[in-house]
Amino acid sequence: MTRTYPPDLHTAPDDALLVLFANGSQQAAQVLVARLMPRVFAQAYHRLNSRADAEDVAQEAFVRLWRVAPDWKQDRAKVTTWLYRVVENLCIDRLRRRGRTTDMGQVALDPVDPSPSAAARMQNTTRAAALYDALKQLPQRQAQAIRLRHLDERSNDEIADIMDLTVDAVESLQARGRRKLAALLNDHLSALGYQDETL
Amino acid sequence: MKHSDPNSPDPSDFDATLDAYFQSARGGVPKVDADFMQRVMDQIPTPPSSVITPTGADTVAGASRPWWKQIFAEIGGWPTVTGLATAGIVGVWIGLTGNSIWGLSFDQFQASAEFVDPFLGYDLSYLEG
Repeated sequence: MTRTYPPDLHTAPDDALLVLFANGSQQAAQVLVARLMPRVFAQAYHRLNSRADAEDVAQEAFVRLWRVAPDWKQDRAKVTTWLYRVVENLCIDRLRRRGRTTDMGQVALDPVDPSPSAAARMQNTTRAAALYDALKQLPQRQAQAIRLRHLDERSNDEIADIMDLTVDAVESLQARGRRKLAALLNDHLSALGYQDETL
Repeated sequence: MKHSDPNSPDPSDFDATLDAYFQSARGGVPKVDADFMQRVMDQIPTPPSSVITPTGADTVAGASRPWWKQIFAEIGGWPTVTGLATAGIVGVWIGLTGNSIWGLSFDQFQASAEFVDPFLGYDLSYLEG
């Protein structure tokens, strides 16, 4: 059987790749994985703080994507938005099962990229832990809007789509969230004795 | 510099510092492991064969179909069945309505056939002794 592919899969939109996969192109699925995996993995990692857990979640998210591919409606949702929601739910389930939904900041972080110096790594780890801890104390919608923007690096248009809000409402959530986050981090760092940090 | 009222910090101050925290968290995400990526690639299933080749008996999945379905496909599937059914119905109809179905009795047909000379232009008298 002869299969035909578009001249360049790498420039095809996500949903087109998914439809191509549903019609027999494994190559399209591979391009989709290569394109979206870093983002999916990072999202899971920011929630779970564990490489192994983030890998499990990312893997499961793609398995689910392959399952829905034959019924995918191109005008219904963006692939990235769909994946975001699946990853978010998988992370929540996993955190619930492990009973650590409120202790993200106390979880030992995995070793980070070895390129920074040991001191810089330590500072990054401490800051990340403090940030994760503070985010959990924000109202859920504010935390979500902040995470999407500043950790997952989504555009506000995309965040509005994911959260079913207007862009103005998203910006409002982020502004309030950032103010609270600053206050929480300030308290947190004072309690830890980080007097040199400025907030 | 620390602000005395944490609920109303100087925005220009906390924006920069918050961004540094976000940067730290983003930078703390490990790179996607190549082996893991390969595992996910390997898990990509073969797309449903019904989508690739919607008809025909030459699909891989066809080999595992029941024998009667394979025979059904081999003899032509539904087009053959409908053709046979139509032919059967017409046959029964002809049988019930007798030999006057075309407005021409069989006897008339036979009689008219007698006028046809099967050896046109050939003198049968040569065959006679």
